Amino acid sequence: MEREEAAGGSSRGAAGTDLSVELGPLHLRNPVMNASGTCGYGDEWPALTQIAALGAIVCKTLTRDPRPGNPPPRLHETPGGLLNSIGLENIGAVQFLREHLPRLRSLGPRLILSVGGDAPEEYAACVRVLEDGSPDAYEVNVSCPNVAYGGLAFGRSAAASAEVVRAVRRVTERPLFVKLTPQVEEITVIGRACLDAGADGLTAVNTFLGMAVNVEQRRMVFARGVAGLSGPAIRPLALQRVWDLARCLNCPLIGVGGILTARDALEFLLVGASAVQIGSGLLRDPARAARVVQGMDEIAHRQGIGRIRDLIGQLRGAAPSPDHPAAPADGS
Amino acid sequence: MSAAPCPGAGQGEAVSGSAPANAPAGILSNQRIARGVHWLELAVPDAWGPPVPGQFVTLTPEPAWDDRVAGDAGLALLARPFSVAAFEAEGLRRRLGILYAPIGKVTRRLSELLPGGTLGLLGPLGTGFPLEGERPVWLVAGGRGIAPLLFLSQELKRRGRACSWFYGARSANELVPLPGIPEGEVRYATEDGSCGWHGTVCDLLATCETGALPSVMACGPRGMLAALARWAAERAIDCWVSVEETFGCGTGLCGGCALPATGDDPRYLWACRDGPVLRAAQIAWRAWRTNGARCGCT
Repeated sequence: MEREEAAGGSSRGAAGTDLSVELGPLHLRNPVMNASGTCGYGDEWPALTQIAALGAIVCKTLTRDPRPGNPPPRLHETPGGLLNSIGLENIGAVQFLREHLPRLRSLGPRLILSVGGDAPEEYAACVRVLEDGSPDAYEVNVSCPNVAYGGLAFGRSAAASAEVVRAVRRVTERPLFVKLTPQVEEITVIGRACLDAGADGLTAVNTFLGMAVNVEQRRMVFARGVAGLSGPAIRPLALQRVWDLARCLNCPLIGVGGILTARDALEFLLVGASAVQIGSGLLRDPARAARVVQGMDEIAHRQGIGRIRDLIGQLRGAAPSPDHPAAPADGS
Repeated sequence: MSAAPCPGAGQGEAVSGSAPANAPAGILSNQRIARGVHWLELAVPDAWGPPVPGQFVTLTPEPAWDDRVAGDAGLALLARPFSVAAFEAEGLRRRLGILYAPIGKVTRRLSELLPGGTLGLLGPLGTGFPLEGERPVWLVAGGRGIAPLLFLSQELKRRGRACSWFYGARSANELVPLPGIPEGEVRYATEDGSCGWHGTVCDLLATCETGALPSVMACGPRGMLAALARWAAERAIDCWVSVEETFGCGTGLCGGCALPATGDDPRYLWACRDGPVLRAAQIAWRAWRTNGARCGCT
């Protein structure tokens, strides 16, 4: 009971399911979060987003200093997905603390601050500022495909990812989750390096690299050429990465990639994620994540599942991995 | 039938309206009113809005995602933005009017929906035109950019402000009939000379005497608005434009609809949150690169 109150609300759904999960050191009243960058800083339209119903709120990625982001156009819809090139536009850590953190704190869910930077020391400097806000955890974004420095350049290298994690770990004892890019040959190698460097868990996955061309004008749609693909088009790809990480690494996982419905979210839980994030779906329906919480409760109730956490990882060992045939099924 | 009062009036700048709501709306009517142009009328709850002229809504013709099944993008992952073209209140009934052209897959699907059905509605969103002031208002429209100006003219007239219409298109067959606007109040311009002034609507404006220093309020394609912004800046005329970028969320949560601002501040404007109604002088028109396929309010 004490833990439920600490998490800011009931962990039991209207249909009676115990939705609470343990995400490493974090107790969440339910396993649903928004994905970074799809719900602003989290506090802008609480009535519209129903964000107070989530297990955790993830803010838009913050950098130490404000960033203007990329020039327009920044979005391009694709069959089944969405390309974006926002470029980490944000108001900077100091202004965030002043203008958003107090209200976010009052909403109830766990608060996870997403952080980015051009260099390991910049990630650390950002976190050092944000420590004053006492967040529940950080999500270290080493996977943004839309910036020239940092971002994906770190996330594609195990050594560089680990260096970022070590730099952040030196300035905080709070739980750290590292958001991984799927644009690597072997995601488990990057994940393991992050854990060895002090991360508590992993968020998988950030957007896939994509591109679009304006045929009429015979030019790239995006100024940078490349952009990040999200949406249901990437869901099976993201699911496979999460399963691979779950098989090979014994760590808390947050699954993300094209989840629109509660059924989608349960896929990720079954392959080994302890929590999920909803991104693109929030753009059409800002209350989508809150509705996924309800939907999970109803599906679990219909299936006679009393505790949602009992589903986590049920399929982790259900098939041999083509990449890791010898990996232990339970990850231990 | 009386127009609902608008909030936020009298501030002398782009105004914000009521908090947006996210709920299905019932289709009252949906019909073609001219070649390539349809009028959709929606029933909205009595607590909805009221919107300020210039604000928009997003619509999705697809049903809400069903949590029991796998979610897919269906026709389109994102909802589509539409200017509010009319809003009327009669007792507890609220009617929202949308003007659209069935030119894309979503708008074509919209055109197939029948009265009695529902669609997803989010809004009202963004900023509206300033309604208060003494100056006469010149309403400058390009193509289907008339949509928000129809609602605006209704509100301005209710306040007793004098309005003049300037309406341009490439050709006469692209001019949309203006419901409720007397023909004599509208000056037309067509680039092929098939109706009214032979040239662009900005060419037409250049021939007009601006001695009384009007406030200009406009909506239309990017090129037209950029030319209008230059024309207004050269004459120190107060000029407001309704703009569109590719919208993601429509609510300012994703930051996808950035457009470059003038001045030293490197921050971008967000068309859905800082706009869609902006002072023309706020926008760095030359720097505004776009994928350019869409215009106005479809």
